This record gives sequence, structure tokens and C-alpha cells, in this order.
Amino acid sequence: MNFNRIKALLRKEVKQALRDKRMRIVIFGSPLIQLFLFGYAVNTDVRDIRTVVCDRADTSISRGLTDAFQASGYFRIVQRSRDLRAAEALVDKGDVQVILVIHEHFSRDLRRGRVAHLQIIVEGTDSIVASNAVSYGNMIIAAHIQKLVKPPPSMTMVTTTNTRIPQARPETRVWFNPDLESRNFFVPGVIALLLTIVSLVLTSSSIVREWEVGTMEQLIVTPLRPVELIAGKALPFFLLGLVDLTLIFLVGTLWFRIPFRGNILLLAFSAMLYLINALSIGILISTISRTQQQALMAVFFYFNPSMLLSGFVFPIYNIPVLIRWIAYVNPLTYFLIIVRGVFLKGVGVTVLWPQLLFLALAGPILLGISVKRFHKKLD
Amino acid sequence: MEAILTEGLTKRFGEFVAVDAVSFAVSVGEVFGFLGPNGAGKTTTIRMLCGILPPTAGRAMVGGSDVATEPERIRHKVGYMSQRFSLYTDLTVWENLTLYAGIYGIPERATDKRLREVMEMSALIGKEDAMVADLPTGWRQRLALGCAILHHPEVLFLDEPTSGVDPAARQAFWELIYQLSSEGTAVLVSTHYMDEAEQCHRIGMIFNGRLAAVDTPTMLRERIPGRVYELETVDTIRATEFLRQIPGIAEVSPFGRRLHILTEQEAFTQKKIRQILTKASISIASLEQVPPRLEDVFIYVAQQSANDNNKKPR
Repeated sequence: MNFNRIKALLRKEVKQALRDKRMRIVIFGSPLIQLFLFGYAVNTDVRDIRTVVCDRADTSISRGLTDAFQASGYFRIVQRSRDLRAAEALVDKGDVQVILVIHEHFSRDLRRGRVAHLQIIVEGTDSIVASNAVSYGNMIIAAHIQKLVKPPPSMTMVTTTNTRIPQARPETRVWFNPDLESRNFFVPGVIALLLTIVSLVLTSSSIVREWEVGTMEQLIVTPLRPVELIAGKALPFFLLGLVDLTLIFLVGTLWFRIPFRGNILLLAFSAMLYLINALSIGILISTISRTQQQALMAVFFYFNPSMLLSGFVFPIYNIPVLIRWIAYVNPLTYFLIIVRGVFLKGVGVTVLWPQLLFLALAGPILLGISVKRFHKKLD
Repeated sequence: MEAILTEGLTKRFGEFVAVDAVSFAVSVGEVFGFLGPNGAGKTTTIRMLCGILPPTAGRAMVGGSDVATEPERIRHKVGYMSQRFSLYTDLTVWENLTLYAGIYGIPERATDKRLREVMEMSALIGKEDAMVADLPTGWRQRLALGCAILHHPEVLFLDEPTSGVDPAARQAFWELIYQLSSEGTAVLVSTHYMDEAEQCHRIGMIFNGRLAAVDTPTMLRERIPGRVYELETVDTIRATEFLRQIPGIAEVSPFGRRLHILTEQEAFTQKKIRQILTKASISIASLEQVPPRLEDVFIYVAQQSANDNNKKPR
């Protein structure tokens, strides 16, 4: 390996990449746009679920319960109606997603210690919203009843005897992301995703473009070796990848206020390992493809399954066993675990070493394969 | 000393024989022309000699190194300019040269000086910061040549370097070739321009992968056994078809608006042609014997080679 040759190629690549307007957009614009998209728009947090209340009891207790729903922030009561049919019509139209039905004898039954009936009807087409609505609703009702049953402190002495209902109250604590902000889960993942996209798109076209335009013709008669060529092609995008990482990291922590609890050097190091993986895959695609168009198709063909089978959105343990192995050979899976671990849990090498080891081994193997492939292409 | 030496150099792609047992030698400082139609095997031969395409059979030495076993050494010794412009149009003249200086391992201290030399030689001074995309074809060709000779190659391969370049620029380009050759660089240039081939010290004519003739332009002209007559007539198409039927006439080919008639023997006189044409009532505007041109030789050799091919059982 001759480093001067690699350096000459590296300089040229950086110049070309920064000179091309479209490339500048891919490098600097697209990460930011996507980061903001994921930070703001892609939000699985459920708030302000549009709700209609069908309060047939119309007592202070039932009104209090309704207020509790509204006050929780999870539900927004858009209408009150005694007529269930009318409420159902609103669901059919898609105007509301939840109907809270409080039966006529609700307050009376409650006071008498009988089973008091109320109903939460949820429109279930969006399963995430629906399941959240159900659990939030149960939570609010339970808390509200609790308050009603528990007498004011001054009366405790008198009433203790007849209100001793045995009950277990689970106390949930959510670690690392106490507010269950989906943004905290997604934005670190987006770092992994964006590094993948940028490095794949940039490298996959880089070698095949030289063949297509004809510039490779001149390069291959020079003393430049395949290893040097590939190093000279990968290095500039490695550096640009690190620039992107910094950019996304800063926007993520400063703008979106994603908590960062881990070691920043560990994040940088693992990102470097991961970049070697992603760049090698891009270069492999570039050596296999005959045209830039093919290369781009190959990138999408690779990228979609690799994103879906990485735990970025869906947990890996939910993936059917038959295809779960794909997730286990997918470098993105491991990098996601590292990024989320470092960001949110603040864990270090002692916990993350298996993932780091995978990335450290897979990268050079992939790179080796692409160098081999390049050799064969000439004949 | 031989800068290029090939013996039975052959390249097969599956069933197709692209280069068929080609043997020739090019000495130091010689300008050797490769003349042949498209697809004759010129580019394939050059690629083998550059060490980027391994030969199927035969041997080739370039600058004393074997192309099959020492391709890495070959690459330091050869300069190559491909048929298709293959420098970066989104870089400037200077950036392209700097890239290749780096790749050829020219030490950074010496780069500036060498780049200036090459720029001066290729008459590119003043265009350092011009984007290659904005350069006219002639300038691009000179830049490509400049990039190919940065490392003082012993052998220079030029694959149809002047296609698409205007005549004045072509002449300027050839001046450069002579300069390099006078400095001892062996130059192998492929072309299908006759006037360009004429400027080479020696020419190899290649058809269907076979080297049909190798000689100096002068000696090649002597190969024609018969005579060449130039006929001017209004009825060129009928005259061509008619004369081709006549025994003793080797070939009839258009030459500008005229026809060149190549006879098989010297005995076939001008008088005889005149008689035949009159009999067929083809009007003659003018008919005279002309010294054979390289194009006549080329057509003659092409035909001979085609005949040989037909005789050979396939």
C-alpha cells in the first residue's frame, strides 16, 4: 500500500464530492431533513386522542371522571352526547377514536359498592393508538376511583374500618426514558440510519461511476492497486460520515434535547467501526453493479430489509424465527444497540463489547470481499 | 533495444478470437502505427500490452517486463491514453494533473516543476484553473497526453488519440508525439486516419485480430503488385460494380469523388481500362495512373487478408 497514492485519490474524491451540488445535498442536507422528520413527524407518542363522552349518569362523580380524562392530556374531549348512536356515527366518520360511555347507574352502583359499569369503546384501526387509549383509560379510571374511595385525611379515623379493600397497586418505573418519549428512542436510531444511507449512497455510485464515465480506463493502467483504489474511495466518505455524525449528534442533543448519558468517545469509536461496515457494503455494491442506476437499486434493495430487520422500529424478538437470522447478521442491528445503549442508558464497553466485536470483525471481512470482487472485474 | 516485443500474442473471449497470434516489435524512440478498422483488435492488443488484460496465449514484453507475469512493473513503464476521454471533467486541468502525479508517485517537492514542464509541453499554460468540462476537445486530448507522460514512461500507448479533433489540433498533437519519440519514448498509436498512419515510422495493419502487414509506409506502398488508376466519372456506382467483375482488377474503391482502380498486374494498362469502360458505355471524365497511396495499400491488404481467411477452414 502506498499512502501517497491513496492521499492523491482522497483529495480528488473530496473535491469532487464537495463541488457537486447534488452531493452536497446528500451529505449535509438530507441528514438534517431526515433528522427533523424523525424528530418531529414520526411520533408514536399518543396524545390528544379525540374522544366523545356519552355520560348517561351525569352526576358529579361521572363529570369528575370526564374531567380527569381531559386533564390527563391523553384524551381530548371533543363532544359530549347522551346519544350513543350519534357518538358511533362520529367514530365511523373518523372524527373521534374513543367513546367513553358512563352508564346511568354508575354513580349509584359505585356508592353502594356494587360493580359500577362504564365502557371505553376504541376504534382499533390504528393499533398503537388503540392500545395506548385502552391502557391510559384504565389508568385514569383506576386512579380516579382510588381518589373517590380514599376519604379525605381528616376522616380517616372514622372510616378506616369499612373501606379496607385489599388492593395491589403496581408501581411502574420507566427507566432511561421516563417520559416514554418516542423521540428519545428514535433520534439515536436515526443517527445509525443516516450514517447508513449517506455512506451507502455515496460509495455505491463512486466506483461504478468511474466505469460508466470511462475515467476508470485511465486509473487501471496506473500503478494504483485495487486496495489503494478502494481505500481512496472509502476514506473520504468515512471522513464525511464522521462530519455527518457530529452534525446529527449536535442537532439531536442540542435541538431535540435527547439525553446523552454515555461516553462520547465510545460513540465515535463505534460509529467508525460501523462506517467501515456500511462503506464496505456500498463499495461491494459499486463493484458488482454495471451502472449507477443498478447501484442505486441495489442500495434500496439492501437498505429496506436492513432497516426493517434491525430493531429500528420493530423489536427483533418479534421477527419470525425464519428471517430473524438476517437481523443477526445485519451490522445495523448491532450499531443500533450500541447507539441507543450509549445515548440513553450510558452503558460502556463492558456491556457493549459483543456488538463492538461483531462490527470490528464484519467490517474488514466485507472490505476484503469488495477488494477481491474488484480484481475479478477487469477480465 | 526493443521497447515492445510480442510473440504470438493472442486473446480469446470465449469462442471469439479478438487478437490472433500477433507478433511484432517496436524499438526505442519509434512511432509505430496500428492501422485497422474498428473491432480489428487494436484496443485489445493495447490493453494486453498495458498489463490490464491477461493474454490467452503468446508472450509480450514491454520495457523488458513480461505483461503476463509482471503487470505491476509494466504500469510504471507505460503511459496510456484511451480512445474515450477518461479524465475528470469536474476537476480543473491542474487538479487532474496533480491527481495523476500523486498516483504515479512523483514526489511532492518535484510535482510542481514536473507539472509546469508538462503544461508547457502540451501548451496548456494559462489553463491551470480551467474546468476540464469547459475545454475544447483538442485541449482535452493534450491534457490526456500530459497526464499519460507525467512519469516519463518508456512506452506510450495512444488509442485513437485524435478521433474527433480538428485537423489543426491533430497536427499540433502529432508534433508532441514526435517530440516524445525524439526523446526516446516508444509510441504505439492506433488510428484509422490514413494521413496519420503516414506519419508513423512503421505501420502494422490489423484485420480481424491478425497483423496482416508490418512495414514502413514507403515499403508498404511497394507491396502493391499492380498499378493504381484514378478514374473520374459521373457514373461511379455503375463503374464500380462493372469494374469489379473484370478479371485482373483487384479492387475498386471510392477516393473522394473519384475511384481508385487497383490492378493485379502491371500489365493491365490504362489503355485496356479505357477500352473496357467505353465498351460498357461508361463515360470517362479523366483516367490516369497515380502512385499508390496508403489507403490503396490498406484496401489491398484488407482484401488479401479476407481471402486468406476464406481459404482457412473455420
